Amino acid sequence: MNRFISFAAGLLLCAGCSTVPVQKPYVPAVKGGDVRIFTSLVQNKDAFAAGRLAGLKLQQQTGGVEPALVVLAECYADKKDKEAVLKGAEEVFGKGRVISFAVYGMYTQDGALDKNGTAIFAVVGNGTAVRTVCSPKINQAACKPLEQPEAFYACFTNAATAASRNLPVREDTRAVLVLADCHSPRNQFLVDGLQSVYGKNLPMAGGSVNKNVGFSWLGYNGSLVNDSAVLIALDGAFRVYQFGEQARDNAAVLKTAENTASVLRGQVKGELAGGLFFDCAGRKGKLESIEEEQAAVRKGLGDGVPFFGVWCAGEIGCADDSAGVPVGRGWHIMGTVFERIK
Amino acid sequence: MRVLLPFLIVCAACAGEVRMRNFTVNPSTGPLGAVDVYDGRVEKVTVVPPEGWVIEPGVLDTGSGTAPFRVVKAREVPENAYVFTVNGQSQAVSVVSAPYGKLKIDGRAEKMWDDGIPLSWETNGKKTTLRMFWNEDAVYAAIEAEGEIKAAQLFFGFRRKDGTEVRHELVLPVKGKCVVLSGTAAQETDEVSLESRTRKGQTVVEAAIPVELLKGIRFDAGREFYFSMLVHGADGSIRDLGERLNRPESARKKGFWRTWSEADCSGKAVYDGWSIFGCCSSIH
Repeated sequence: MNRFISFAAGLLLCAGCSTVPVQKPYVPAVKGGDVRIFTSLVQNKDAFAAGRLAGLKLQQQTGGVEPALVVLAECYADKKDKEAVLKGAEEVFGKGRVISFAVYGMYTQDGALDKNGTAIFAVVGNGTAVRTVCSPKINQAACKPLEQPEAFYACFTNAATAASRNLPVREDTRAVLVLADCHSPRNQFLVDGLQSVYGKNLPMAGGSVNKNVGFSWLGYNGSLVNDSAVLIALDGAFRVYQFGEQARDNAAVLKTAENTASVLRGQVKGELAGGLFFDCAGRKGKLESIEEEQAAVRKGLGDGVPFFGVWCAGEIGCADDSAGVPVGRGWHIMGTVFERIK
Repeated sequence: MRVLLPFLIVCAACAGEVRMRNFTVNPSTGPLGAVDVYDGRVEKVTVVPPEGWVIEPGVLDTGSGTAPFRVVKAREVPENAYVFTVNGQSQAVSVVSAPYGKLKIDGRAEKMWDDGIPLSWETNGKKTTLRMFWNEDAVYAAIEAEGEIKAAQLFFGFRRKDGTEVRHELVLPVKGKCVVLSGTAAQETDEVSLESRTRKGQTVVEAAIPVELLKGIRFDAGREFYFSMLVHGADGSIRDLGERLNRPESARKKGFWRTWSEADCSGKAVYDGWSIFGCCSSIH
């Protein structure tokens, strides 16, 4: 009987929380090993072709070396296209090897895109190891945010706490990336849940996938999920630095984008492997052209540095007023850069 | 008296009209709010937000233009009406924004429309509600009106940095195709998907307007444009969305809106279309 109860409880846990790593089997990072970041950017109305081409372009850069992590951002309206772009990239990297998320636009060192666009970043090298977990359902539809705000926000905190317990921090864990269905300002409640397990000092970066109900999809383990959060632990022989600033008008958006990138560049004393920028979609709306902010980040980081940015509905990172503690905010550009340790 | 009279005249001329601006994204996301001074000067404006809100600063240096403030803490309400006290005067503003979405146009106001941000107002005891959405391909509008109506007339505008203006005007008739008004011309178009339905004393008009038809305006999260709407009643009455938007008196103008057979407001001083609207992500 006890065995049956344990088995049933196990089934329930499995149903509520997917803990199967989607990436290759975990191989600990090698001290002094290599860490490299690659990106690709493609626009095509044919979502499958876009995902596949973005994958091939990235694979060409890595010389065929299998990445430890492949993350794809997509800007398609229909669910079938979101599935197709994921499948296109999976054709290159293997089923279940790509994590995808919906955004309002994306940029890399090569340019900026929105409608029918996709961008991939990959972490490659034996100096890094990746573990992932998908949270149980946040269950946000069960509560009315206006009438029951406390219960509503608790959904995010509880789901994050449950997920982070399934992704423990290792001695060499450098950062956790968070891709989640949690529109700003709810992302802070998600961060609260993560920090209840990880503490406040672990670097965290991420973005909200929200594009309204029915459009907020994450690709995980080869299929689309919503009302969830995907956590990605980055372990290895590298350092991360984080900084972010908020802005709500055109001039300030461009100034803070360049400054954020420049501050991060200045913090790295060794070799800069690349950067991730989770950026507010509201900031994108203040741009005269979407290339403006990408150009500002490129100027701040310096030429030749690979970077990947997305405009999303809430961002997680270290803001200029958060004293080095990761927070969930809106209207910010949240930057994270990776420094190789030789 | 000789000295005082000119002084009084100058003061009367310079006393501007202060208006709280509507929010173009959900206030709980911490956007900038603003007050605008029209037709004169008001040096300082004291703003008291709704209960439970926090704004910074509370006293604004305005002069003759616009003064922004930061929303530090806010909470949305289903009625989408937020009463601020501006220099001692109550002013109700709203979130005037189209969330992201892709909607089916069938005149049935399907469930997805509930994810919109409603703007409701009454004219002669009859309620009208507007909801809008946007995506990369189209802008969607659903108008629910008590009683019989002939058409809804929509204005979309944008002011470029160089001062030039983009202006589009469309009529969504209850019967027939969408009509694009340009100059003195009126042209029917099949590009706008349009459905209407009248049932139990309620008229619903739904439209999907391709963004290609609204050239010069970019729709994107956090992006602002100008929008307003007149709903033309079957009895010749006009329901002016501008009345819901806390517009200044100087925005009432004769001859701003173009005229078409089912949409005629000539001779009536209704609000112009230059009211700020926005695109946002979601109410959720």
